[in-house]
Amino acid sequence: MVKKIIFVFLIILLQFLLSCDNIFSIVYPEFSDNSMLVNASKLPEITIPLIEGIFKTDDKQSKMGDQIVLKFNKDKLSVFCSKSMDLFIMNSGVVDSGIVFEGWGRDLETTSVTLGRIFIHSGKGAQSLLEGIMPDSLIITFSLVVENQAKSSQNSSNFSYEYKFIRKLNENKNFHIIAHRAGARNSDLFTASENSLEMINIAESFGANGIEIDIRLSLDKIPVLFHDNFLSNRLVDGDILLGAIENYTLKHLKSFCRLKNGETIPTLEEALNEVLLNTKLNLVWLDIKSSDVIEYIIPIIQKYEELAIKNNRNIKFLTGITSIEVFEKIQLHSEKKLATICELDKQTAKRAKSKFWAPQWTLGYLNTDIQELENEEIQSLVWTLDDRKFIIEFLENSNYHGILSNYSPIVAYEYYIRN
Amino acid sequence: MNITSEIKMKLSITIFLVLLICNSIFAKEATQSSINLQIGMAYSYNLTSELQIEGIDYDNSGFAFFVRGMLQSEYFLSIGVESGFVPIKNIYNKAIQNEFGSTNVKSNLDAIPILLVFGMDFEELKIYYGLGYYNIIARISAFEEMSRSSDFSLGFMFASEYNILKYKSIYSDIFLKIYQISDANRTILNAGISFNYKF
Repeated sequence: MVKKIIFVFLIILLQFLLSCDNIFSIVYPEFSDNSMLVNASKLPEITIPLIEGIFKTDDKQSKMGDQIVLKFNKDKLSVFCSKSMDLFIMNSGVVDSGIVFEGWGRDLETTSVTLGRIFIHSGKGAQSLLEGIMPDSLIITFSLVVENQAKSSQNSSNFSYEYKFIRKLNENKNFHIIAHRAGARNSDLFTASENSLEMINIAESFGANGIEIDIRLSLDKIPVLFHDNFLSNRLVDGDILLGAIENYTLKHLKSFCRLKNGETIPTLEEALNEVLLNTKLNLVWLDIKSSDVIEYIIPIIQKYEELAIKNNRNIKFLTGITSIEVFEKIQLHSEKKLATICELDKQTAKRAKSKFWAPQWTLGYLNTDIQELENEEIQSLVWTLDDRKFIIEFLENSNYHGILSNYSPIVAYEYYIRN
Repeated sequence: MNITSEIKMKLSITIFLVLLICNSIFAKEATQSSINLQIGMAYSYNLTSELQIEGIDYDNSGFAFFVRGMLQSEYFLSIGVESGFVPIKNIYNKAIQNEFGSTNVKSNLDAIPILLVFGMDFEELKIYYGLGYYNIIARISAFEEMSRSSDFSLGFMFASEYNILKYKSIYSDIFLKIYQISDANRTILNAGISFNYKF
């Protein structure tokens, strides 16, 4: 009898272990009544470009690293850092002739989050900035804020550091910082789901100037953004829909399925519309999950290429050649002159007359190949580079024209401080 | 298949091997083998609380049934297979309105388990543990369109049965059973009655 009880206990224990799921979440902190922005006025438009740049501190203890990068996406300030935090996204306002930014900060490789506040005192450059003039000296105070601290004090944190403006950002529009799955993966635990319109909208806050999105077809042959073969628990709260996404019509997907953060599954058309109208992104990499997709995406891409020209936008819509089948399908529509990015070997990239070649990062720097293709006006992007150490090595030693990453804030930081 | 599924798959194979090894190690002295055929029906309730889409009411309950064949031999555990029908979630002709207009929705999400089952007797009480795949079938009809999908998901089953009636080779048990469909993250509770025939 004892043997049997032990045995049953063992089975129940194993069943319990097997039933566990790797589901984590992050609660991003918010300023409540301790926010300095409660009665703040709006930051003038003329001030925004003046604040973007590289800032440096001499304080070796700073938790954000010795240099930080400040960059705006619309009215939100992104701060790219390098030490215990990688990214802050902050709201802005003007309080008593000082400029205030407040928001959450995140270490990308862990679930560590914090609140951060940047204050620019009127005597330390704010006054000139508000008048649209770049001050001779601009000093910001960057604090990690403990919740429930006094509203009035900008130095109320245990961790407060002064950073000095050292130079403007040197933006080379030909270097592509491409955010994977429209910004980040679900496993990266951001506030929007991967491959969603909401994620596209915040991709620039992650430092990206381009996005990669995954394309599949619905049952009624409408291209939609979705990564996996299946409506898996990883990507959706499917409720009554389970199984292959290709088995469901768009109306059913939109009506009865939600992405992990509550969004609906977007169509390719909605995604390109979002890129065109609500972002300044200049590259969209379509990761084609099945060769069947090709004939259905061509009219959509052509429409948005025309709309981009009409809107005075230079956006590259690149169709990914992910397999020989996709390559052959594109060849069948060669008269459409689809701009492509070839993920296969460089010879295929040449044969396909691709605009870009995209080798995997594990193949190394490939500088000779990059040069050879550059002579034929084919640029090269490396994927998917996430580790800061390798990002630095590739930025310093390779001649790639861009990097695809799940951690585009890290790429942005390392790129901007080197240029 | 994501990494979680791969790990679960490896763990499942490990459990299966552990069960087989234990079964051999704890083998009793030779007794007569018998085959036990069992059918059961149950009230089924989906315990998983997923995101509710506004304006749509779901029915998480329904009637389930199963068929199980067990080989009872000289070994520590009896071994067999089980299949059946388990309703997960349904919408019965509900009217909804959204960006695509108004429509009546009919939808079923059901599972057909295909499980390898190990059983153990404690006099009147029996414990069953099943391991295998669930064929999950989703059907939806709305906006004059029909979608249907069928997919396999790794899963488990744990059941306890209590004998309430014995007549010659026929037994009747009441049971409580939990189906865990791992990849699809659904847990379904069944409570019902079963009838066994021992050959």
